[in-house]
Amino acid sequence: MNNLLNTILKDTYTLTSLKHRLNILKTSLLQKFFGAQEQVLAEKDLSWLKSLPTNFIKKFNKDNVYNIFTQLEKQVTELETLTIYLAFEPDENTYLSIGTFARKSFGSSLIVDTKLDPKLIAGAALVWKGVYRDYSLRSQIEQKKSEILQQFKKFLR
Amino acid sequence: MNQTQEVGFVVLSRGFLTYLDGFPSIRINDMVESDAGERGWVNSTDEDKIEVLILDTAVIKPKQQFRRLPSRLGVAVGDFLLGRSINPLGIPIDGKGLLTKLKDTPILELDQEAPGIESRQFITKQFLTGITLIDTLIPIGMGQRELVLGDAHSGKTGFLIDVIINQKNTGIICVLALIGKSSGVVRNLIDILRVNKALDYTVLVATSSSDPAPLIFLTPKTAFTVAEYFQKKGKDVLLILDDLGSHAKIYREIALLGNKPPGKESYPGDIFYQHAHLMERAGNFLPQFGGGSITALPVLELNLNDFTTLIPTNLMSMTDGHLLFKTSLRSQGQTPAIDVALSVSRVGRQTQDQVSNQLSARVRQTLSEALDLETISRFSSELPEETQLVLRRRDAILEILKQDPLTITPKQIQTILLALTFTSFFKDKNRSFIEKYKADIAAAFLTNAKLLRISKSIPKLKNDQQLIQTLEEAGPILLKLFI
Repeated sequence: MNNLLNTILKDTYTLTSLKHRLNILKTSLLQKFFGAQEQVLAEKDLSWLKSLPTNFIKKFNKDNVYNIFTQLEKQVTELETLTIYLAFEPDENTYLSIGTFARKSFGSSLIVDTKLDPKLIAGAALVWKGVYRDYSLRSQIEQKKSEILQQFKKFLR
Repeated sequence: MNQTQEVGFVVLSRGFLTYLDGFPSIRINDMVESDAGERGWVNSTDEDKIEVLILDTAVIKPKQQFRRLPSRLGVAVGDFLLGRSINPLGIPIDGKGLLTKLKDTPILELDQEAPGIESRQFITKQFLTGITLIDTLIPIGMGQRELVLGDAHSGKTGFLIDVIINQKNTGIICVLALIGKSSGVVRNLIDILRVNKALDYTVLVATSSSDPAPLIFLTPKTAFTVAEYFQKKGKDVLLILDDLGSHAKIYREIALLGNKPPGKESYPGDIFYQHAHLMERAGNFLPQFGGGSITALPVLELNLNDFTTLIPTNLMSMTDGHLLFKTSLRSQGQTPAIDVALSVSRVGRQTQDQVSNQLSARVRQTLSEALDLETISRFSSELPEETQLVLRRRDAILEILKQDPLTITPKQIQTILLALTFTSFFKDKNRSFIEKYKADIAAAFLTNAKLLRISKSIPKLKNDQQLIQTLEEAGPILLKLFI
C-alpha cells in the first residue's frame, strides 16, 4: 500500500494536488472497471495519469479498487504535513521548488499544505508538528514596532 | 499572533466537541482560540489529538486553525464582582457595563485542587439562616456542605433567596451559581435580590439553558473560584449551586457526545468524581490559608420525591447532611416545606450552644412522640390529658416553625418561641392563638421592658430546663398583653 502512495507522492508535493490526483485516479479507474460517466480532464491531469507506470495501474482491479482508495485516503491523513502560510497564491513552479526543497530537507514522505494569509504582508509562516513559526514581514514589523514608531515620530510636528 | 506558538487543526467536530491535532505540549484545562475568536477548553488529550469543548456558539470548519492561549481556563476575581452577575468566563451579563478590573487583578484557575486537611479547622461557628426550623432543629455550621433537595415547586429557591437576604449586615459574602436556568428565572432572581438590597454582598454566576453545554458545565467551577477568592481574604462565604442535577445532565450530554462509555442512568463513570471534586473545595480554613469559610448549599431537584437514584445518593454521601423539601408539606401550608424527620445535619449540632441543643432535642422528641400518638388519636374520641398536651405542643411547635418568605427570626427569639411551647402559658393555647399572636409575642420580647429583661438573661442559662423555668415568669406578662 505504501508503494502505491509513494508512487503518487513522487511528483506530488502539496496536499491539495495530492487529494485532486487521488480523486481523478479513482474516477478514471472506476470508469475503466464499471463504465461510469467519463470525466473531462485538464491537459496536465491527463499527462499525469499517462505518466503513471503500467505495473502501478495493474495493481488495481474491480474487487480491490474501493478498499485501496479507502486505505490511501486514511494514509493521506497520517502524512506529516508542513503547513505554509503565504501572502500570495504561488504558481506551479513555486510549489515544485518549495516541495522539492522541503522533501530534500525534512523527509520524502512529507506533504506541503499551503494557505493564503494576506495579513502576513510578505514572507511566510510555517506550522510543523503543531508549532507555528512566523517568519513574515508582519512579525518583523511587530517585533520592531516601537523602533519604527520612534522613527515615524521624528517626522511628526 | 506571536512569532512562535503552538497550533492545531480541526480533524473532527461534533456539536460543541472538537478534536484537534498538533499542540505538542498542551495540557488539560489549557485554552485554545480560533482566528475568529472562538474559545475552546481542553477536556482530554489523546496520543494524536486533543478533545476540546467549544465555549462559544460557533460553527467549526474542518482544518480550521486553533492556537494555544497563554492563560489557562480562569476567571478574573476581585471585590468588583460584588453586586454583579457574570458568566463562567467572567464576562458580565447584567448589562451594567464592564467590570472595573485593575492591572493587578488576579486571574484564578477554575479547576483548582481542593485544599488538603492541613489547611482545615474544626467547624465551631453556626451559620445562621434566620429561619427557625433550620437554626434550631437542623443547624448548619460555617464551612458545612448541606444538600438542599426536593421536588419542583417545593419552595427550594424561595428558601435560598431568604437565606441570602437574611445574611444582610453579617459580613457574609454570598455566591449564587445558577446552572442552566432559563434567562427569565435569572433575571427575576437578580431583581428580587436587588429590591431586597441583597445584591451588594452577592455575586451571581449564571448560565442560561440556551448557553453552550460546556459553558453550563463550568458554572459551579467558576462559582467556587469566586468563593475561594473571598474565603482567602478571610471572609465567610455562602455558596449556593442551583442545581447540580442540571449540571450532571449537562456532563452526561458532553460525555455521551464524546463517546465515553455510559454507566448507571447513562451518566459517565466519573460523575461522582466531578461532584466530589467540587464539594471538597468547601470548608472552614485555618488563618494561614486565608481563614475564611465556604458554606456550600448544593441544590438538587428530585423527580417525584425519589431520592434513591444515582445523583441524589451520590450527593448525599459527599455532603454533611441534607434538607428534604416536600411539595405535600408546602401544600399543607408549611413554609419552609422541610421534612424534619428525613432531614439531617451531621456537623451543625456541634456549633449550637448547649441550651439550643437540648431544646432542639426536646422539640424533636415531642414531634416524634406526637407522631406515635397521632395514630391512636384517630381511633379514640376521648384522649387522656397528657396525650392531648403532647398533640397540642406538636401543633404549637409546627406553627412556630412556619415562617413566611422574606422574614427573619433572630436566634434568641427562635429559642424563646420554641421554649415557650413547654411552659404553662402555652399549655391551653391552640394553633389559631399561636398563628394570631406569634409575631406579636416575638416583638414583645424585643420591646417590652419586663420581657426584654428575661430575654437578656437567657444567654447565661446552662440548660433547657432553666430556660423553660425562666420563661414561666413571662407567662403572666404575656397573659396581660394578649388575653
